[in-house]
Amino acid sequence: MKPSPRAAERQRADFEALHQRHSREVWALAYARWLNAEVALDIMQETFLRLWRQWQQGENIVNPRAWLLRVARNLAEDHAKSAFRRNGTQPPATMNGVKTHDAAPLERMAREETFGQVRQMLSELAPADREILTLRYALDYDASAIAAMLHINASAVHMRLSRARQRLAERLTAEGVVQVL
Amino acid sequence: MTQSKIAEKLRPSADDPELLLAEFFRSELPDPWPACPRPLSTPGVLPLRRKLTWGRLLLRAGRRIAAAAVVAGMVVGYVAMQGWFVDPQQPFPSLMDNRPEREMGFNKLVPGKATENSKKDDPAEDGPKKDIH
Repeated sequence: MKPSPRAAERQRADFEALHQRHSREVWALAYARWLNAEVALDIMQETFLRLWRQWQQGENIVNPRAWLLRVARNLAEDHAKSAFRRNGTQPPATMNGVKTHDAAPLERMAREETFGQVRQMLSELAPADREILTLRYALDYDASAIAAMLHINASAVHMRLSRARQRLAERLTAEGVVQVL
Repeated sequence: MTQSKIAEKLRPSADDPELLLAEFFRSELPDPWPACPRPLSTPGVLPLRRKLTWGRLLLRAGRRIAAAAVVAGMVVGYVAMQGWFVDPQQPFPSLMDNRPEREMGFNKLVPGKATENSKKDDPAEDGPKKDIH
């Protein structure tokens, strides 16, 4: 049976507000797992659609943020399994080096090269380190915001962030991506 | 200037890992940020109560009456059919056993004890016989 237009409108407004408030966090979690913006977007979209479906079934979700983040994590893990089925042991990143016929501008090329190295270094870090770095630099979250999201205290965030940065900087220096530490 | 040196100069924030990370992650963020997805179906809300009409009321009552009649029929059928079957606890059931003693036409003889009928029929019990002559 169709709900009343007012009720449907209210639900839609709530849904959009949740998307506005938490979609970046959901994306960041998925991105930290895969270091792939497109995959993270897919996971984010699927997470919100699942929330909608839960509402459709009449489920009462007490803490939508926690629910969204949990589902996003699970979906990111499930994506790992399905990606393995699709690609075997060969990650899709191996196709990144395929040359295109379009001549890229030099600036863009250099930038892509550096970012490619950063991505590679990040992929070698622990997932927890990637999460903290993503929240810090992609979403510009401070320690207390990260602590609230990951359910750890702020000093632990500082410590993990500092270690993650240090590990990353060491690798970037070793690879010659950055000159000065 | 060689190409590698040009590339070196154009590298983003090559001497500041902090800035490099910030630039990297910001470049990864989708821009523009995607709009909220619009699912086709509407979320579930409690269905509105339809107004009860006489026809709907009768239909609903009819269904309930039919269900009650089925249950009642099953109970009555069970009770009625219960008598048709013999109790398996009785070893040798027969129709004769179920009939009352008076209808059976004979009395059970218990040694040392006369039955009610045998008392009536026994001439010795009526006292000394009178001489007809």
